[in-house]
Amino acid sequence: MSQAVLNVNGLTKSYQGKKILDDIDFSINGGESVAIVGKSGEGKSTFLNMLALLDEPDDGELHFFLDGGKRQITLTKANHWRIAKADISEEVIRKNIGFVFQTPFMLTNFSAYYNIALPMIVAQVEKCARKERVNSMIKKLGLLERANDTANNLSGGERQRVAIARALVNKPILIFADEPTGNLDPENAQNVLAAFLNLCQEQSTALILVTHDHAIAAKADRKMCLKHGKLTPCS
Amino acid sequence: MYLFDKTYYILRDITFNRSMAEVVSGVLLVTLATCGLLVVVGLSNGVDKFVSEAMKKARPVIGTVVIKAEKTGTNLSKETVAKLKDWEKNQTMEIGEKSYAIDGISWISEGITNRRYMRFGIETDDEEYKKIHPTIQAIRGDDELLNPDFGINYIDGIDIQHHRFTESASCPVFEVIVNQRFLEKLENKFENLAELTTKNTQFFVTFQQPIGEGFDKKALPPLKLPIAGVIESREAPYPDMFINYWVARAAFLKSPTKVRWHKSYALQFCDAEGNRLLKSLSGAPDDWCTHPGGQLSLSWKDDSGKTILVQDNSSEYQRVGCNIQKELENVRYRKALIWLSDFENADRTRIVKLIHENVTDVTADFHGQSVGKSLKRTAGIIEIFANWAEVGLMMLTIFATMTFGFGHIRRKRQDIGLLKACGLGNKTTATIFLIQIMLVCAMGFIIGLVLVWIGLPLLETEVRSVVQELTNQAVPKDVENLLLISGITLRDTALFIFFGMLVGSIIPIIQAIKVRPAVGLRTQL
Repeated sequence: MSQAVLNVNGLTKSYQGKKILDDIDFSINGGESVAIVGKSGEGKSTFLNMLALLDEPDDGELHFFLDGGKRQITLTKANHWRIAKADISEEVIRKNIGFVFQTPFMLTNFSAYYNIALPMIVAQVEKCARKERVNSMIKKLGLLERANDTANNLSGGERQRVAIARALVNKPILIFADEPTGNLDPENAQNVLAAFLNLCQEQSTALILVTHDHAIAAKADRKMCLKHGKLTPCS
Repeated sequence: MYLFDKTYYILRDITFNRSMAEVVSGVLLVTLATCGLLVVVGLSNGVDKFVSEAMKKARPVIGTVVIKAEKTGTNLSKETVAKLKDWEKNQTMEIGEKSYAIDGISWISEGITNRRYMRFGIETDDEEYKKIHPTIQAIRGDDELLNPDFGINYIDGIDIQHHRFTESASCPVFEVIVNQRFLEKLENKFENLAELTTKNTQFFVTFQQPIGEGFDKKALPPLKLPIAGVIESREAPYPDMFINYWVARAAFLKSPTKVRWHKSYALQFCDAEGNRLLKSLSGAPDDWCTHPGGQLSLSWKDDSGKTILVQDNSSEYQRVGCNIQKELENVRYRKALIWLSDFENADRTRIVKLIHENVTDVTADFHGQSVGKSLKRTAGIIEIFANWAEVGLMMLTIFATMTFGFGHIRRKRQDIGLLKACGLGNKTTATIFLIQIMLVCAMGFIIGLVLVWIGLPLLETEVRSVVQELTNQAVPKDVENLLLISGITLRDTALFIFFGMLVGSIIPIIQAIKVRPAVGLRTQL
């Protein structure tokens, strides 16, 4: 059995007095894929944002297990969802986390290559290693011809592939995907999703996938439903 | 993020920014701020200095007496020299029992002329001559003598026949006060005397020098002397320069009603021992005065017809030069100009000190004091403004930076969200956007600076003409480019701007740091 990469205890989040996430416990192991389904407005994206440290929960605990479980980082409200130890920066976690958004956000003035390399640039990966890794991702995702084009000039499918490449380029242990094919036509969606899942599997990256499409969710190892702020296994 | 990556990101993001309009408007805003304030700072500082310099330079007066002679004259007694040096050192002039503060003493190291003893038509021997030197001319701070329109007003040569104007290095050359009659006598006719006081034109009078009696018997070339100014006395009946001048001073003292003459009256001739020189005058001057009758008999009446001065061979004459002790008590001395025949060493000739140095109360004006005073007041206001203008510049820079910074950060929220989602720390985020904001502002500053640098000389021309108009005098040439040199100190201004940009960036940067990735990514523009 693989080691857990993320444990969530008692995660709570409210918006304007309404509890969106209510005392959620959740865990995911390395290489595992979990689909979270639910209706619009149930808090799927919010939940994902909390896990990916893009937003702050009201309460709860997040435990990340890095380096094959050798190093545990706990984030709580008490430590302001930040890492107190000086020798472990936030980047350490971010380096281990990838994110694919429903809208493929890009630095529009920069090339596809630069956008893919962004997490490595932030993580101060050496240029040679960076180049090798980015080129490999570009090849795998079929972006070879568009690598030098600015993000503005890419199609929706291409942009989403760039976003997937960006999420995976750092070889993270955990990827969060929020409706990664939501903005694509069915054919494109199929291709992008296939490439995405393949790469995750190839890299043994844990995947938390938020979707309202049960067909897509079915491709995950586990399927969880988010309803009225509670996260439960789907029946 | 490595430095290279940071630099690449910053530059590319600015260069290819989708909100290029924002960047351009940011640059323009700071450019305008820089231009506006630099011009204000430059003008206020510049005008302030310009006016001060112009006023200062425009008061050469006695200080411009040119002494070219090196080896003539007589010696003062050592005691007198010591005394004068003491005065200079202590900046105190003692007359009688009174002490007067002075800013300095101007020394003229040569005798007035070789023929000084002929000054009053009195034959004197060398011994007498040694005694005859005016020792003090004290000029009040508000003396119209300080008006450049008059210029140096030392009067020399009672009779041109006995005065050797020359440019020879061995003789003293003085500027003179002339009157119309004198000018006509020299065949220098001017239709309008007022023209001679025109600020921008230097007029000259030409002296055809006679073969000097007692001199080297050589015909000297005509001497062209610059006219420092004209004193116009409608009522002065006596054309003799010296007496006119002298008497007019006394007259002015006695009757400060409508006579537009110098108010400076403290002209006192003493001998080396401090005894008043005029006491020693005797006999009838016959060649120094063109007074009808040729006698030393002058009188002066005020407007009411009352005789206020009688100059004749009697002791009345002494009143002109000597009966002033009482008046001196009310005089605030600024400077004393000391004419000396010589010091111990005749080669020690020095150009006189400028009498206007450090004279702060400069309000004298030919037309009254109003212009000078108001100009001084204006200069004071400008000075205050100049002092605060740089603070204003900083405030405006803060404002401009904040305006651009807020807009920029608002525009970049999604990018910030993305960068943070990719793991960019707050410190790096702050650094990147701080540099971006400051880069844009710095571009604006540099453009503004260049524009000001190009445009300010044009403004300076305007200012120069305005100051010239106001001060009623030519603006000295050596204060050219004052606006650029003194008005704008590049280093200070750059520091103020930099500090302003730094302060102005703080809040936008805090905003950037506070952007939560999820919120930033949700932001749609």
